[in-house]
Amino acid sequence: MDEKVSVLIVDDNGSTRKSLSLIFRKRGYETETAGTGREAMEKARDRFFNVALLDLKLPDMEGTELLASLKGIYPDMVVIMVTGYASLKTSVRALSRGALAYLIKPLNVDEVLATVKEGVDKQHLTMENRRLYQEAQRELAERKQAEEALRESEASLAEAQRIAHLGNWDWDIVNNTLHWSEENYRIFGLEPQQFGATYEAFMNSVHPDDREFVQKSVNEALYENKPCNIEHRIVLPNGSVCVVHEQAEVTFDERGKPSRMVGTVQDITERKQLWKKMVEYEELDKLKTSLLSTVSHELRTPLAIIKGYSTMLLDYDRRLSPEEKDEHLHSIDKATDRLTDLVDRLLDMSRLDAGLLKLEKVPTSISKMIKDAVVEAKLRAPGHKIVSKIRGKLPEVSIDARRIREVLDNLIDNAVKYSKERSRVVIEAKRVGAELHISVVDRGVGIPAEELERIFDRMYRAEQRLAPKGEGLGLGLGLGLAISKGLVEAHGGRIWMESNDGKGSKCVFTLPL
Amino acid sequence: MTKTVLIIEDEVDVRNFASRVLELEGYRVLQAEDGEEGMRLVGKRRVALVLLDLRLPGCDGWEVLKQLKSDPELSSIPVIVFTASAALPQRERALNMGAADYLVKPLSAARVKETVIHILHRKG
Repeated sequence: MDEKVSVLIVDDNGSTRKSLSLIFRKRGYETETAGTGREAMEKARDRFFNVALLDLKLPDMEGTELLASLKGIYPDMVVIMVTGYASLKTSVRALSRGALAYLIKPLNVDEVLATVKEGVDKQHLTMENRRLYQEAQRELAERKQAEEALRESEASLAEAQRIAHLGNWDWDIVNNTLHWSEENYRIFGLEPQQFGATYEAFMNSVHPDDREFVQKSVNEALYENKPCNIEHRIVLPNGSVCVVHEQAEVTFDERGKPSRMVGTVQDITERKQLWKKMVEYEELDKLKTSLLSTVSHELRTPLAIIKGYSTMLLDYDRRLSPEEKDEHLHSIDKATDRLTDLVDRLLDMSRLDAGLLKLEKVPTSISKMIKDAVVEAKLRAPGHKIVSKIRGKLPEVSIDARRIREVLDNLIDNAVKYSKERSRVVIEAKRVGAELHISVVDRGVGIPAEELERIFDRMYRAEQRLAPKGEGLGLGLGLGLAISKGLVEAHGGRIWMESNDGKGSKCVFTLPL
Repeated sequence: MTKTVLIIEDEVDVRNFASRVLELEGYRVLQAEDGEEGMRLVGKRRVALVLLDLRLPGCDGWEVLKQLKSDPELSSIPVIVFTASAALPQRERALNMGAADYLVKPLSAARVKETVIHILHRKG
């Protein structure tokens, strides 16, 4: 301790006070004296003394009384009692009240100094211990607070990650250990003990079709310094597929080798689904608009023919030859049929949509139906070679014959429309298990593989360049295949298109027996 | 002098009807079933007026109208748009692009005749 050790000397005898004071000062102590108990208390109230030497007999109070008061204020104060007579009773009382020692007059200077030194050393140790203890306590409290704060911020981070479906990860490339945050596990649907915590274990969760792409992106980040910002699919243990967005950065060692990669992963499955739905709605909206405009166009075209020729026949009656009039009346008749057909198709489509189509099923020979259809199709398309190929004797099937014939005619007309004159159109029928398979095969332009699924959608039509010239755009609403699909499905069958792009197509439908 | 009208229309019956009406009214009529054919004819012959369908295979009526109106030698030929689409914005668009009139099918023989005569007369 740099500060001087202070001693308070309390004695009613002035010369004792003076001589003790002198002795201590000489040895480097700082001293203060008091003649009465009250004076001593006043001085002690102002400041702390390391040591108090108390005479047991004071004019205004007992020394033991003062001892108790001083100890009450300063528990660490070293108090030594001094007295002219020895009394076991008082000395025991003094020691029990916290005095360090009990010295008897005449005082032995060495004994006094030794006792004071012993007391001061002890006091020093006690105070130092307490200080250390308090410091330790404070440090402990601070650490506790810091830990608590860390726990809180970790908890709020985990909470934020959970809400945002955002996890983070840290990959030690040198040791190939991959650390995942809580949310990271949740996104991947794994428990920490289920995860191998390596790059390969992560790759295991990546959708098999996306692995090559993810590997390529990681390689580019590691070796070509490209930013890693990708979307890919993952497969959860329960088999469901999610879409995640990953963003990552690479740390390199002093030799420029990648040592660590850290990143975030966000579950964007919902966002993707929402987006997909939005696009679907937009497409549906476009389809509606386009259906309206097509319907309007398709209805107005035959009306234009009927209105045009009939007004012409009225206005120019006398200037037209009977042959020309006849020709125009035929055109009107054809346009009327076309209009009727359009109205029928529109009604069929809405009945199918509403599930209101009634089927009148009767046992029917499909072989006979195909033969009849071929005979009539040859009349409609005399340029094509239309043939039937029926494998074995087919059983009768319970169907609405008019509706299935409609499907067949539609498929044949389509085959004719998208293939060249003089090419073959083959109608095949065979039994496959508990079903009949009826197919219409052409050697026409075919359908690109990516359009095969859409081909039964309403309003779908092969690209215009594929349509033969002269037929115009007016023929049909693009509802033919959609209606055929609806009719076949209403019978419990299936319909699909097979195609070799550019080498023709094969449309198959089934009917359950 | 007999004036020549070009009809660009892919529906054969509609094309024949309009063409017959105009022939009976004393015009010479050229027929084209698509945009390319129409542009080829208009470049080769002196055409006084074009009757143009909008929905055509390949190069459609809008494209034909744009090409006609952007060619200084052809831009003065009046074009009557003749369509099965009644949508209002299309009408506005066609007139803004320089069409002389916009007719929605179906049309009577009299309406075709009168519109053609009126526009050719206005032009002088």
